[in-house]
Amino acid sequence: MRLELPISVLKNRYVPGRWDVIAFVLVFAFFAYLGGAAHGLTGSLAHLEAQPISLNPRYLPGYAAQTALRMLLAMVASLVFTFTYATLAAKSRRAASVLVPLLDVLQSVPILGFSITIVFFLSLTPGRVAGAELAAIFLVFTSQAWNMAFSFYHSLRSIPEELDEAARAFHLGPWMRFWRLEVPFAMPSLIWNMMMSMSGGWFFVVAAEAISVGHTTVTLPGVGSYIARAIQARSLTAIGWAIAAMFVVILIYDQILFRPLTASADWFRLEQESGLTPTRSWALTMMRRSRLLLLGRRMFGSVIGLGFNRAPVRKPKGVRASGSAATGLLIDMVWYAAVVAVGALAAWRIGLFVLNHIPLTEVGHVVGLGFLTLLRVAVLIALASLVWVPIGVYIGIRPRLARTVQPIAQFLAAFPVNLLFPIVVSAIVMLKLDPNIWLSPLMVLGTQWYILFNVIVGASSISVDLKYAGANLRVRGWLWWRRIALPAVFPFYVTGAITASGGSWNASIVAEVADWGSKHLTAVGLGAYIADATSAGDFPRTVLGIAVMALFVVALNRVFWRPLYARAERKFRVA
Amino acid sequence: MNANALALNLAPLLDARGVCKSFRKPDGDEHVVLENVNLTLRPGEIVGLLGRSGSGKSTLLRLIAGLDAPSSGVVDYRGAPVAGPAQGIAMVFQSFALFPWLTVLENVQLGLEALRLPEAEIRKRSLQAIDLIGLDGFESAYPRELSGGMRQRVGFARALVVHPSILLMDEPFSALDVLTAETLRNDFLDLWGEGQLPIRCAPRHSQHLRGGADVRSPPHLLDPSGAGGE
Repeated sequence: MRLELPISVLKNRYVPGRWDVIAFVLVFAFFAYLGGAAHGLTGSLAHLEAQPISLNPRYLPGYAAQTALRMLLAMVASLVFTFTYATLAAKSRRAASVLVPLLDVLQSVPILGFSITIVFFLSLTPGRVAGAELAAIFLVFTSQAWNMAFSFYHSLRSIPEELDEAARAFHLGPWMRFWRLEVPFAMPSLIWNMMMSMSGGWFFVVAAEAISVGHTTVTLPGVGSYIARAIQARSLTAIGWAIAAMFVVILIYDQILFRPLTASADWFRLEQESGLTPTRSWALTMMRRSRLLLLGRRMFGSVIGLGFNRAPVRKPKGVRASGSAATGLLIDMVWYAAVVAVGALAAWRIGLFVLNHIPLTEVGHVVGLGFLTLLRVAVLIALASLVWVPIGVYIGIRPRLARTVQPIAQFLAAFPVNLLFPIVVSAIVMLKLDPNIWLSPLMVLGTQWYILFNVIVGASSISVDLKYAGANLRVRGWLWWRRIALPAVFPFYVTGAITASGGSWNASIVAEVADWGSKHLTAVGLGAYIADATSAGDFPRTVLGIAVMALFVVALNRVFWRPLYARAERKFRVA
Repeated sequence: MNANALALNLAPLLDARGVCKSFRKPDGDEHVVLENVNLTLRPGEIVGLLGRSGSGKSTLLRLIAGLDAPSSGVVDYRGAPVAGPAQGIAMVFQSFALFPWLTVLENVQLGLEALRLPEAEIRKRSLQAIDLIGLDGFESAYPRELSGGMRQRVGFARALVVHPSILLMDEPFSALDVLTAETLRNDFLDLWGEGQLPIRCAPRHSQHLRGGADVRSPPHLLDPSGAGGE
């Protein structure tokens, strides 16, 4: 009688299974694709200009692949940034006093405002495409990195005491502690933010591929520039092809990256949350069961593990000579004085730069434009909430429905709506509608899904017992909404609304001006101001517009969103 | 002679016959929780369901309350089949199930608001119920500010204030420490004994029930094989 040993007991038997076949094919395809796309990166600009974007759909897969590659590189850069910046801010109080507000401001600057950096990047590698690629990747990076860094920073700062004490009691060295405690703890929230970033990233990848700043125009081969060409040629069929191609690309990303990430995030959860049932992902199963990838993971783990060691027992921090307390205070004062001085100098220089070229009255005008855009964003977010909150609640309290709808909502949030803009714009042109009113919905088209998405999550986290209690007391109709459903989803709604509002401000730069062929539509607003100033190459006005928009977003956050969120957390969060 | 014999003359409040309930597991198999359960509840009784965890007690309570439908079998409440949450059946939950964003008073009022009673009546009854369970003065406190025992008292008040005919209690004290559970249990039985609980059809002469329940272990609850504890 042969004993069948369970597979886990058999060591070093790398017999390929069926998952290995799929894994091998995918990994090989990935490297082949990387190699092919990277080849394009090292070409020269002249070579690029000699091959203009063709509207022939035959080239679309290649363009889509290039777009996807830029996205991937930007995500890798964001991860590296997150791990370094956020860790530094979390470990050092002094660094945090600069880094955290800086991150706050960076997060409020409209992403497409960063497109003025394109000139800088082009100058890095004159004559070669690499500079332009760097500029595009940097733009996408700025759309992804900040919220990931914030999430990682907050996770590092809120490690539960017991885990921290356990790590110290077992003498975990800093490197080991990072990989064994801090990263796994921060994983669920970091993965969530990565997903959000990836969703938003597609929008900016598409926007970043065809930028013109003054006389500098860059059209990198990709779906974004394909769309730009299609707009010039007023070809709706080409737009249709591009939408289809993007659909496929996002589907692939969704299956191979998104879903496994969400599914694996559930494994890191510290507490059992009565939320949606865990996502299923064939890709994750493949990654877990394939021996090939297991080999890869082991190698990665052992490389990381080289740095693991036991730290020597250190004296507890409390025991300190009294003299160093005074020096600490002195260093603090010097540090803060330096920070304030540098900040004031920078603000002074920027102010001079702007005011030298622009009369003060125009500054007032720009602020007025800001209020106009604010009005648009507020009205649209309110409308989107009225529509999507009831729907989200309806879906969220039905677990089976939520399971089916949630991936769809995630997918919708990822799809770059700027691909749909030309269709709407062509309709506006044809029907001769007022751009001030009809261009506005474009701003919220892509960001309304965050509201739906978060409300679904909120509604599905209403515990079964609470639902039963409400049913048992026969609470129905408006009373049910007022006392049970709306309060329960309120903190989640606020999270979604904050994301949606921030995204709408960003989108205003590409939504308040629109082209169709030779027709140039403009709505009156701050986004249009920035977009026009950028394409005219007018640096002072661009900087002014960006500064005003950043100011608006920061002010809104401090005065409205943060207090609202704090109140929501305090009163409505199920403890 | 105990009150049980007296109660035999009254028509049953609840009649469950041949009730079966099964759930579909994630991998597709059917998990049978209840098989052929019969249960009759008459006015004036305190009935206890005993069983291991996982044996289907909570499921049966949910079926009685109308919060779930049986896979087969009939649950009759006052002669009519139960279809949805029935009026007159109130439930107290193991996890308290208080709404964290409502104060104690608002939690207790919720059932009355659903009954569309006039405001004055709602307020009067709620304050009386809060008084009854001994939380006078805590009307505007939030659940997170209360201890476990106090929260469960609110749960009781919320269930009692609608004057139910049947009060279902799903392991109401198991989330509490031994001392608090003992105190609450005794308080509850005291109220029952003094006839102060606004549960209809509770006969006045129920001293015989003090300190004990008419225990009936339903003979047909299925012990799920292989299903360990929760």
